[in-house]
Amino acid sequence: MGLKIKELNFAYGKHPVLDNISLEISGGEVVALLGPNGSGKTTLLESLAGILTPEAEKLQLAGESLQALERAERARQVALVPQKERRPFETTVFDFVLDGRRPLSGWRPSAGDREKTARTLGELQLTDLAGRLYHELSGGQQQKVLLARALVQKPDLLLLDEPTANLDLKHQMEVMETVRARSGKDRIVLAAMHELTLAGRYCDKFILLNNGAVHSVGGPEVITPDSVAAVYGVEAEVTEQPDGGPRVEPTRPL
Amino acid sequence: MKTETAKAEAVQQCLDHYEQNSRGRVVWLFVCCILLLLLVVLALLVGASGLTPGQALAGLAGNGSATAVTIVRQIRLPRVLVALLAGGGLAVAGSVMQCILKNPLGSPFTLGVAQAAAFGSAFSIVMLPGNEFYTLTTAAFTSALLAALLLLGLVRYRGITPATMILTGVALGSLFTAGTTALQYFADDVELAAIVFWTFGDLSRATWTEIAIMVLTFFPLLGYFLYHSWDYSLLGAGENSALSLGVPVERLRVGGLLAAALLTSVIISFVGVIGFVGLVAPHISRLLLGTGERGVFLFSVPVGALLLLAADTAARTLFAPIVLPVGILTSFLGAPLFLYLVLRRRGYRWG
Repeated sequence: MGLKIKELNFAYGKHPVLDNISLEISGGEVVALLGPNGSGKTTLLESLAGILTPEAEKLQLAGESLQALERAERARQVALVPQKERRPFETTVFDFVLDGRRPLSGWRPSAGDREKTARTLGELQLTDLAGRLYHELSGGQQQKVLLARALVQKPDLLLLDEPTANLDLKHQMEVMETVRARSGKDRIVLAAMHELTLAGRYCDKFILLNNGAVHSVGGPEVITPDSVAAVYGVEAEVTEQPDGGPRVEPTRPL
Repeated sequence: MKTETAKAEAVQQCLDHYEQNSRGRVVWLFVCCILLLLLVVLALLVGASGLTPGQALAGLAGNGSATAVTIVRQIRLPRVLVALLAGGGLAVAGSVMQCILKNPLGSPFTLGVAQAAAFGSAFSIVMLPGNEFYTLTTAAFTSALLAALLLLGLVRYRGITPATMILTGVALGSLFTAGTTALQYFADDVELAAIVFWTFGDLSRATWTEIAIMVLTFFPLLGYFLYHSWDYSLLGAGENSALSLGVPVERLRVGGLLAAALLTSVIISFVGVIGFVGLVAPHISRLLLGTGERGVFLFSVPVGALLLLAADTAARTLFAPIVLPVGILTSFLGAPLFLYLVLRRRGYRWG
């Protein structure tokens, strides 16, 4: 188990967005993908999810090339939690989460699919919302429902696009706790995030992206005043949280 | 241990609740089919000819007077079957278009297919010799299908997205309307009347041959739509979500557009333009279903058939012995019905 990316490039037309990205992530790691707006976080996630087709020397999950996989096959291994989703027609939370079983199911959901959906809803404490309409939920609840849909997909690689954006403190922590709890040695979690301290608290590994290139990769030691200054352009104090993760306190823009 | 059982119970409750909803949907489907059956019987028994229901029943069984047999078996029965096929077909084509376009205003005619068919029929009436029903039908069908292919070709340049499809469809629609208007200008009085009459939409034109062709188009395409209904419902989740759930978005859009255009072309080249059924039936289905886009394709078939058969039966009997073209009635009934649906449900969000 592991994700290997070697020399991955992506450009929108002539405008390059990802520049020679090479990364290795081992199974079981929860990784934060950090960087300012426009640094290529979402583009990298979408490249891994197969929404975009990047050029890459190597793009392997558990030794298998992701690019060679058929779309449905790929969706059985990689799930993406988008920032938000809008649908033109009403959907209940149960049906919404059930959609995550699409790549693993036949032409319509089976009893097993419904049962897995109900169980995941239970585990995420969403059972009470099962019959509610998705678009009537609060942002925090919607984020959890999106996460539940990705989890019933049973992915080896779980990608999250700013899972805590626009959430209050409690929901931020609940979402990250759930992500943490549902990680495991057979799963890689890669989350694009903006809140450095929150990332520091819940993630094992950090990838700093700057202008589409990898600035630094590693454990808590890569989050330093220098790296934050270089990537985000802000002066910051970095201290240690009680559980060892870095705490970043920005002081002024540079 | 206690929490474990509590959890299992909560899961079971959640499932039970869902199953209960699903059963509710099946009941609605059943009710629709029963209503449809009753309406079929009613439509066979009443009409403009002045037969009593008893005479009509005897005619249906084949042991009434020769006139009754002819009226019921050769006029009313095919007409009822055409209403069922055209109503069901337009409804499912509308559901597919609403999925593909991610837009509750989608209908089988959004992409200019109807305007193209009208142009084809006008072209045949004015330009082609003979003026036979088959020349006209073939011209309408060819024109409609060519319009869909042209649209697909144009849209491929900029990527097949809901926005490019709608905009190109509107452009093609006005182009074909302009063509029809030009033909009307050069037509003589008789031809002009024929062109206008064609656009009314009228179920009496089709005979057993056309019914056979409609059956052969409708059922395989319905099978295709039902088999892919989960995928199509996921198009509403947006391109990125659909792709990451393993749905081949572009293939579905092309396939759905072609299949819906083919179905619509076959129907309207035989019966003319019948508005609103394809737009309203999917919305009524959603209203009955509660939620669950996956079920809309199947549900919209009896709903569409019911709508069109009801409208046609009314068209035949309201002002008897005058028989109105059903297209007029569906538009009269469809517009307020659609407004009601839009005002009642605030859930629709565009974009």
